[in-house]
Amino acid sequence: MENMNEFDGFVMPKARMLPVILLLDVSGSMSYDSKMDELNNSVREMLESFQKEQIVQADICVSIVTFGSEVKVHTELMPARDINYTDMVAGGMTYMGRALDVAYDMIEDKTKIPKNAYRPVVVLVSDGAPNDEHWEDKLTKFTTTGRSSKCDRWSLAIGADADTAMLKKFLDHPEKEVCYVEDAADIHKFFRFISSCTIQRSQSKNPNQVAQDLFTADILNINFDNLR
Amino acid sequence: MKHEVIGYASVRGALHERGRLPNQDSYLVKRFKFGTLLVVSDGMGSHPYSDVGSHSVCRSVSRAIQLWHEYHCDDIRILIPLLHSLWGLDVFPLPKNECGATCLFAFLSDKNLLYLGQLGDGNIYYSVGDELALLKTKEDDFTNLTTGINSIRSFEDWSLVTVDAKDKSVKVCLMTDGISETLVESRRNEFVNLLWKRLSERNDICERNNMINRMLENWNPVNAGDDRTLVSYEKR
Repeated sequence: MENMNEFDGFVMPKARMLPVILLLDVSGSMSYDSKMDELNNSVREMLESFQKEQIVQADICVSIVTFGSEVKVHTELMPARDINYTDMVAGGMTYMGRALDVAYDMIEDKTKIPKNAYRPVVVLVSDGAPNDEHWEDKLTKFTTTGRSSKCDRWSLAIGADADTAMLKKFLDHPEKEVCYVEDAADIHKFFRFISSCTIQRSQSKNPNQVAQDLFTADILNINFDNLR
Repeated sequence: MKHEVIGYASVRGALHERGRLPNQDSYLVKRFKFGTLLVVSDGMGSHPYSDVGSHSVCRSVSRAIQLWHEYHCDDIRILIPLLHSLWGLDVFPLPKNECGATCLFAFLSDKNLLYLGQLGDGNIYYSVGDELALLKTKEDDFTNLTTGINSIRSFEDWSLVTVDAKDKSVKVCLMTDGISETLVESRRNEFVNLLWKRLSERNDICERNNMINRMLENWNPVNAGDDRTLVSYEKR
């Protein structure tokens, strides 16, 4: 006769991953008008909100890729609750194309994001325009080929110098719009929106599904109590 | 003389318990004079009447099989449009796109022909003789679209198989994605084989159902958010 525990080993011991990949501009211009401070505070708040959530259906994992003159993986992809966040520092050019390549490779890598992971959220934040070579080709590759083309993609433009046309191309749905903030103090509203959408997905029956009514949401004036 | 071993159970997911929502899965096991039918359906969580839709899938497959048999059909492809029409009538006046549900069925006829059909997520494992097979493997990563009986794009969305079992033993296991998507990928075949083995050790259907029910209730909590439904069948 069976021992009921003998079936335990067949069930995955961890919830399926819901990856959140942040591609964040840390070029020199981000050091003005408290933009970098606001961005650091917003990311920290987002991570704290993920850390509070009970894992039932999906385990939210976060990676942060920063791009200035150097592109680096500031935070390797890991469960949000395990991240010990250190502030990003601004400086240099806007080598966004290389950051897209790094993110593309990360998403394609099935040892990092397994086949059974839920559809990743990818967020691109910039206050300027990319100035590395062939960034257009890299953006096209990211948005039209491989697994990254199927991701839930959002973008934030900070200030009037941001290349909103480029950020619009990054989005995955024609109804989505680039979120534009004039004042750095509003950056946290965008991140609260992304946090709420992600948590909502992680607690839903089908975390792969992104609620389409959020595509046209007024992100900066949303009532987060209703969203949750 | 044929000997059938049947077991089934369905449990509500933790997210539905928390949200005071009903179990949106449905299942049906029915013996006709001309064969045995098993159906499992998973109501789509984002649809307000998905529990109605999944119940309706079970009723509609049953009716479709009876009509199909009355007209002496043996081509499984003829069953599918019939099933869709009956489902549309059954959910009426509710809008179809508010009652979305998957459809997994197995029908073993008295002529020992095994008919399998799957639309949407979940898994159907089957074995004719000794070899274990999976009807449909999940193709796409990160897909946002869950195909259901309400949202079929073409009949190509269906996975259909007919197997002549002759005098071989037949085993079938149907499960919703609350189970299939949370099993360790490399151990899924082992899981199904062990389940069949354990069920065959029990003579009483109540004991078998209790066993499946306990297994589903004791699912690892981090992967127990979704409803979980399993129907198992063996004919020796």
